[in-house]
Amino acid sequence: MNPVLVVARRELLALARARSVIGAGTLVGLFLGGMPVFTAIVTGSGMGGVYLQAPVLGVFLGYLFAQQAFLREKQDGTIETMLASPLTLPALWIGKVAGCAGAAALIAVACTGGALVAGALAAGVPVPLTAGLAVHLVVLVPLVSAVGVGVLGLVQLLLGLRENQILNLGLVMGLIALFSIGQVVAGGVPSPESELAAIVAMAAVLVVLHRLAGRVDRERIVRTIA
Amino acid sequence: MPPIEARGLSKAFGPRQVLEDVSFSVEAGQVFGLLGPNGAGKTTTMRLFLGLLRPGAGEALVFGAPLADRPDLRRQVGVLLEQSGMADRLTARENLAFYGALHEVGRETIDDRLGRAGLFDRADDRVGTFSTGMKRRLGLVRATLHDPGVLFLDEPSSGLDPAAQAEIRGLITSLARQSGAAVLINSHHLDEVERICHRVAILDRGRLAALGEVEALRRGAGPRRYGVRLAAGADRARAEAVLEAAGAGNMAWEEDELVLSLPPGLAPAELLRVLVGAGIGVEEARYRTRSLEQVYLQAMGRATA
Repeated sequence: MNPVLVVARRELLALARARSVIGAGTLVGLFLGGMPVFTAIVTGSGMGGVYLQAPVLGVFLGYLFAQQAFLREKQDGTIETMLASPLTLPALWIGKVAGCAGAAALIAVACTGGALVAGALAAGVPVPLTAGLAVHLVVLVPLVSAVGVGVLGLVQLLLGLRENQILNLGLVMGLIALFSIGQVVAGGVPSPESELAAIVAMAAVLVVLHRLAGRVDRERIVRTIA
Repeated sequence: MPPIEARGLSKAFGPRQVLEDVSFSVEAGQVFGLLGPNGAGKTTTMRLFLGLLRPGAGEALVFGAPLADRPDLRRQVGVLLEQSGMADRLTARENLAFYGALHEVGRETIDDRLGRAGLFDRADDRVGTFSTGMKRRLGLVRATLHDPGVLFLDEPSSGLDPAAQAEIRGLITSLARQSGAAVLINSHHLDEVERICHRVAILDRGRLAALGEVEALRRGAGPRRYGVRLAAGADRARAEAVLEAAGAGNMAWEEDELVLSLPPGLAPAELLRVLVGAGIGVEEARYRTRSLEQVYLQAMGRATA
């Protein structure tokens, strides 16, 4: 099996065991993600908020799932063994990103989709799911979540897996702010062109982060271990 | 080409020199012990071999290459560090499946090894619920799952009860003997090292204080030491005089045993013949070797005898 998939599978297994984290994530998804979407549909206040809400939720959930994903390897005493295994640092990084962002995007999309359906049923209107929104949810939301997790993970690796909650939260909030500004600039419901540009930009950022993960020095991490 | 070889290995962390000009090698099928007090540089040496740290000078070679330059060689390396390297949230089988997938080892092998380690019944329990000894055994299963050609073990029996220690020793010994793996062990347990290692290196503040085969180190340099226990009522002073006349030197009593140096050319049998000929009864006579602990303390500059 591909090492990235091996790591992603392990990450999902570990997440599945952290029921309180998954539970908290689902609550955040329902109330901070689903409710605004539901309200927007019921009140007919436009789809702009729906387009913004899902990726922001994905990034936040990614933060929730990933803030311990990298640090935990050091706390559990597993990081040194992993670094001594055939696993490369970029494979470790991207596997963790795939696992955490995959779970985050899944919950974000499920909560948004559920709220869309529930809102439409409550308002007695057809479910406003267009091809553009489907692409947004299925492609852009996972990519944005992956960028959020990826930035967090890379910074943690660069810090030698030292915990810095303020920096973590700052990075996530910064990313959410950037995305919100982009959405405002694009105006309400994004055009297919701006959506495509966002997808390409996120993919490019992931490629750059992957390259940077390959430049992290193992010594930087190991020297922080007693 | 030895599977493990350190050549003039040095490492400093800032102004602090933690390893200086260390050289040794470990042959296939050999168990090599790296001894030393805390802070002597044992873990640093292991990390240098694993490519987790960069040497300041010299080389840490595994199969003739630094692991940092040849990540493909990691497939032939097994590692058990001070912590067993298992995620507490995952089950034993899930943990092994992760490393098994990285080394392309299938579920059958994993189940077989779990069974051999006596952990099959706990395979689906979370590792967080395991005792220290079980985690250590599981760690050793993980480290050897892919039948590595080289094995690095950091305090392998740390925290284990005597029975589990003996079990781990048996596993390591059979691994080296049967699969021809080169094994490097960091340990504080001199007794363990003495029992399973063919060769040892003793590190003191980053420098090599002693290196060689365990037996040779125990025998020590210079003339061989011999111990004579006299029969009850024998005249000690007379025995000393007789032995001195026969050429024995460096005589000293250790409780009721007279320890002496045999001069070259004087066989122990001759010594006994002289004593018996002088009417002095001998209860026991034997070659004296030092324990590894004595070798260790001497290398650390703390020898008492």
